[in-house]
Amino acid sequence: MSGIVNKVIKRKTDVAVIFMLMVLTAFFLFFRMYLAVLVILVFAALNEITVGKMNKQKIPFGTYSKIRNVDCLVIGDINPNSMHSLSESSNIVSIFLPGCTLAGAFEVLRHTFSILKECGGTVILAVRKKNIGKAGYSPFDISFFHRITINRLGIKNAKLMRRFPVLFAPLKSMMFLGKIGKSRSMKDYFDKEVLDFCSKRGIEMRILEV
Amino acid sequence: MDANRLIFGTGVSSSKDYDSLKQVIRAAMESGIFAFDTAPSYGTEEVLGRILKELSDEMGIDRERLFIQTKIDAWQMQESDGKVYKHIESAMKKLGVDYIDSLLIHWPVPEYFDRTWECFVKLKNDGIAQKTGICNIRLRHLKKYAERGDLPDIIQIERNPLRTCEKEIEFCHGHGIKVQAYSPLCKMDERLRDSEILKEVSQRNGKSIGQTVLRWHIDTGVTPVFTSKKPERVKEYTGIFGFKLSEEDIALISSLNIDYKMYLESIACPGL
Repeated sequence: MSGIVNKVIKRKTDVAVIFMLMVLTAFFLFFRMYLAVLVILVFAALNEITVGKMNKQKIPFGTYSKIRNVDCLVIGDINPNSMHSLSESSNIVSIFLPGCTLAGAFEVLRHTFSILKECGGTVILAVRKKNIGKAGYSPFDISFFHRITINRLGIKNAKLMRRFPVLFAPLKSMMFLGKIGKSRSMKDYFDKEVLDFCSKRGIEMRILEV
Repeated sequence: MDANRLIFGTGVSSSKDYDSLKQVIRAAMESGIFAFDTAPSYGTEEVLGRILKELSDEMGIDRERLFIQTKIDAWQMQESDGKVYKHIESAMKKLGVDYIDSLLIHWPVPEYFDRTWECFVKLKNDGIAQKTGICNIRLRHLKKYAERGDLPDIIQIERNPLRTCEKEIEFCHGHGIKVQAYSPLCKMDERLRDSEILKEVSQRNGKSIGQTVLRWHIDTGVTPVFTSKKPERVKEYTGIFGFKLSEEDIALISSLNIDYKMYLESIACPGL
């Protein structure tokens, strides 16, 4: 039991929210409002599963991962189950960012492109047409961001967003858990910054029509 | 022994507390290693400074014989918008020195790199930093700096037989830049530990795999930044100056290259 508690309470910022959830649960139990208790428990469970899956996405990029020099890196709003049908190569790492903006997908690319093979490699950024020009970053994007990126972009509550994605992005969290994603043509929407970034690093940018 | 042929690192895998770090640093100095590497993010600047002062006094070693290398971290570059003087002052105070032998940019974050490098140039001109350099850079960065006539004295990159970085090293040697290798043993990855090639070369030279790999770095013109928590291992690793690898052995070890890197640069240095 204490192991589970320790796993859940990873940071000081968690303590306040966990305490609040416990107080709310006790309050609703006292007044026999079992449905509210159920909602809280479901929220907590879904959040933990989401955080677990978010962390799992980062494993290939960790120090002890043997996954390196991949041919293709797919980032964005696309069902990760369909990745292997997108390329002839099976050497793919994919990052699922439900409902991401182009800015969010590009920032994640800036943090992850070193996993591509030394001479080139291919990047696919998948963003829904309606989200291309939008601003903003979701907890799923932010989970990849370095502290200096968070400071540079002035993102508030980044730690809480990473820790409680279901609270900050409930719909996207459900899409993430359900692996619900697709992409549209991005041909007209790649801005110069993304293309410059890739060309300087010898990365091929592939336009994906889904 | 040339103090700069092996550098003792106090980074991620090193001991951090005073007693155990002093033991391994004593072992290093007794074995003739007087070059040390640290960084603010390692949290060892202060303890390293204290230990070096104590051991130098005890062993009668002059400051000039020591080579102390520290770095400027990404958060410091951001926090000061590249004007990192106060962080250098703080590092010198922690280390207890009035100059730094080598000052490196730990992660060349593009947004803050140019202004930080301007400070480094000034610090070098003022004699605060004897040498200046950059960690974790690639050939394309070096070529860019060469174009504007602004090359570092030293680079420090992840390098080991699984990642030989031949292009970077060739460029550096051609431009008089010293190359240092961090994680020179790749944390003894099983692909090195179990390598038949390394076993064969090590056996032929009567050395351990660790010693062979460190010697391979030196024989290819690179200074390994090694570490260990065990004094006896430090002594083992420093016993590599009585032999030299043949050209054939060097080629065999270099053939293990698969461009594998433990640390993905872009994770710690977005947009590198």
